[in-house]
Amino acid sequence: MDYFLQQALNALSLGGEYALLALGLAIVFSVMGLVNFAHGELITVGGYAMFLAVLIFGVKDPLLILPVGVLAAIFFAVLLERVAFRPVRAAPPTTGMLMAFGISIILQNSALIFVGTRPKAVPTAEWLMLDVNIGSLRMPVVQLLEAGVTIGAITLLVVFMRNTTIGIAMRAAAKDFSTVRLMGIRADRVVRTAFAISGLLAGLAAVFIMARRGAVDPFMGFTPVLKAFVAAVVGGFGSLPGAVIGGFALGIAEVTLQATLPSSVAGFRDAFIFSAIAVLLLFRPQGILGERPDFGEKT
Amino acid sequence: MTVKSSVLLGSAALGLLIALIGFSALLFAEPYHQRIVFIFMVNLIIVLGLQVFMGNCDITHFGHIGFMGIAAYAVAVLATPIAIKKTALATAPFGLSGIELPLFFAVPGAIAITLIVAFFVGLVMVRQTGVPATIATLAFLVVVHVVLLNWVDLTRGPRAFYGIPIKASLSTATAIAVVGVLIARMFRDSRWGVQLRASSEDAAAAAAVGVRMQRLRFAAWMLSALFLSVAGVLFALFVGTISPKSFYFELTFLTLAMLIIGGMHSVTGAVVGAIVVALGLEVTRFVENGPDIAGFELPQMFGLTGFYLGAVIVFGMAFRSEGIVGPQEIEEWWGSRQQGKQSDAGSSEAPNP
Amino acid sequence: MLEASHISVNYGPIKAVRDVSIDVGRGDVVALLGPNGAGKSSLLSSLVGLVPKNRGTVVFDNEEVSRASTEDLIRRGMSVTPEGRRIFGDLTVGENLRLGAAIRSDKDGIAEDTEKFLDLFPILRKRFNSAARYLSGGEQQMLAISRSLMSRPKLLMLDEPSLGLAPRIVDQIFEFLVTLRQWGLTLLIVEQNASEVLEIADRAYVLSTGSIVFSGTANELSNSGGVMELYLGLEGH
Repeated sequence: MDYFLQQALNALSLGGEYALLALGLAIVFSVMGLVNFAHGELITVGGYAMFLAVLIFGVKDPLLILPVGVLAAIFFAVLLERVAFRPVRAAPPTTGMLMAFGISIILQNSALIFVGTRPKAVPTAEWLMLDVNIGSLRMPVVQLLEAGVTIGAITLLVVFMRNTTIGIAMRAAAKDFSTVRLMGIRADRVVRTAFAISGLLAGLAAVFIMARRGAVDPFMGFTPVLKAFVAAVVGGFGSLPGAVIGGFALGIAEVTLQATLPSSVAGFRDAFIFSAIAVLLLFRPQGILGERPDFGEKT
Repeated sequence: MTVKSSVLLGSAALGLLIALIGFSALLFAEPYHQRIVFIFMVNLIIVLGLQVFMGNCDITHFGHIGFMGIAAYAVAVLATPIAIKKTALATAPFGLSGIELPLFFAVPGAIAITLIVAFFVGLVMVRQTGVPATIATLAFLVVVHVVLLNWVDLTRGPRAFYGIPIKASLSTATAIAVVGVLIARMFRDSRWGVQLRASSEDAAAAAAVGVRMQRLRFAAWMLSALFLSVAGVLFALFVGTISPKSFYFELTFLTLAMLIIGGMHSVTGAVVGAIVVALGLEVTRFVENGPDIAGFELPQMFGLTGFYLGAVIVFGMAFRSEGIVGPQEIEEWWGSRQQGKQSDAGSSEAPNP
Repeated sequence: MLEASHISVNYGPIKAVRDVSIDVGRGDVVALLGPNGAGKSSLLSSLVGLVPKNRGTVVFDNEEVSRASTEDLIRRGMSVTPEGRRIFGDLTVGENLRLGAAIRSDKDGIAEDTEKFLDLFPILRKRFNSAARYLSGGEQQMLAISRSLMSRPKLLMLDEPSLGLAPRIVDQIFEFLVTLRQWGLTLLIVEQNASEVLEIADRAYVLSTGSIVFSGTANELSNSGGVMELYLGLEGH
């Protein structure tokens, strides 16, 4: 039972990480149709910002480093929107996606050139690394926090999207952007808000990823975001609840396989999961909550 | 099957260019440079295969290198001499450590294996549209990489697979690249290709006139996989030593950049993009290694080639999203220029809205 | 209120609107008529900045706004009820109305206006918290018009308000437009369906293949059998 609860917490925290990232991808996609392949670099930027905060400003208190990571990711997401994605906003979706892809390669390699290939250590707050004992149960603080923060962030997001004008406008823009403009709501503001939220969610994920890894390297954003993309597709690409469900489903699947696969084939975990997803998509191409691809034009 | 003369004309022009590159390297270049030209030919075949799918279906494909990896490893496992396998691959499953096929069987075998995999992946692919389709191709690449890395008994895992017979030559690669241009052109301008491109532009309208988009897309997918499997076999049989990282993101980025920059909607674009990006790549490689230029020693800049590829894609998308060449083939350039003049003259007349 | 001069709109080689000038005075109800594909919607979209003008100037409320963005024009007091209603189907009726008032910050005023429209259209009150897509076509049109009025515009432009609706519903909508006229609102109504709109309009323009072929009072148009028959498919008086 203890073992089961511990694994459940594992699944919840890993799933939470995927859900945060998948939500960020889905928000940007639903509002402006951009497939943000540079989303992973928001994590990397958050990580390097934490590293630089220690190196240059001598921030010692690990508690102060955390907001630096989150703020850097938000700032960078908004910056990317302004300089890279606004010029291709009206272009076909492929153009924006490849643009994001190119940006991602540039950022990874800039980090290689200017910071170096080796991972850079970032100190983690000691209390994050502690375990909480509940009876015979040992729960790592980092995982409890990650699960809690994810659920908190998702709740806040739901409140935001339902109760603020800009949130409602973002939901409307997902279906019909030009009519949203006819309400006098500035397109730039809607898009910027979407990017800021995606940066915030990626920044939160970055903080926890950093806490677990203890170091930042140029390619650290790639794998989590690949998983997040897969989670978003499983949930139904562009659907926000779908992104959350897909994220948690993927987290649960990974932890379950990790716990049950014999070690000789454990390395194939991702191959198994992706193949299972392929079969799922064979029967339900639109994902869990997505709308059927109609092989036709959006109206 | 009849081939339009315009297709032959265009293919001949491009083929001539490729042959010229290949044979001048054969005649004049040193082995080191011949090697670069060989790799260029392999990359060109990859880009052509990518064009067959991406250019006609309008779906970004990140998984093509996965097929190349499968084919390269398949031919390696089938054709490597038993003597080498005894030390390098003693625990191979299915009794493969005791098998050594002549290339005559190993090459078609490797291609067939790749196509079988492509068949099953394709079943999933054609049901997806747009973004999920692209993510699916990316996931496929990761799956192939994970399997190559972890099936240690069959692939030696992350360690290099060595001892593959070195049988491919620059002239073979050049010849295949030339034939590849012709095939890619024939597909693009065939009834299927035209229907597929039309359906990518407007799926509803194409379906209304009876175009079976999924079937056509599947055909493009399989033909693309064929190109990639040939590239994989050629590559393995030329370098003799392969490892999983040869078939991962680096090559994916490079070949995607080539196609995008040339213009993914035309075969001419694929060829031009491959040439332009390859030239730039050699220059950045040179700078990356920190050469002495006029007495100054430049610092090593690891990551510069990657930076270059990213910059190429970003600038391409920002300023010329249709690529250098655009959607038109080489023989259409002249024709369209003529037409352009005519329609300019005609546009002063009132068109019907 | 609105003076648009020498407007041209091209889509690539297609000239959708050619050198069109229209003038809408304060408190006027102006009809913009013409067959399908005449360029009416293109003209409207260009006036509100959704499609770029190739030529021409627009003066709105005594200010030159030729290059202003859509968002700016709405904030200056234009409002549009788009063709096909374009309500936000996934959003509730209430959220639709709320977005209509997005440019305002006077909470009390917004609540007051919301009440006003809910009183006028009780069905909207009944469905206030359910997704707008479940409304009937006529109800959606009521919502769409109410939504565009939530910004308290000076000029309301309606694009084919009767399109695809049953005659009884169309009557209801035109009744509502008469009410708006009584409120003192300036209206520009784009219609294919000429007979109904001419009963409430002061003046009318007729557009054909992108150019104005008639302009005058609604009465003049009703009495010019040639124009009515040729462009609007109606018998003149």
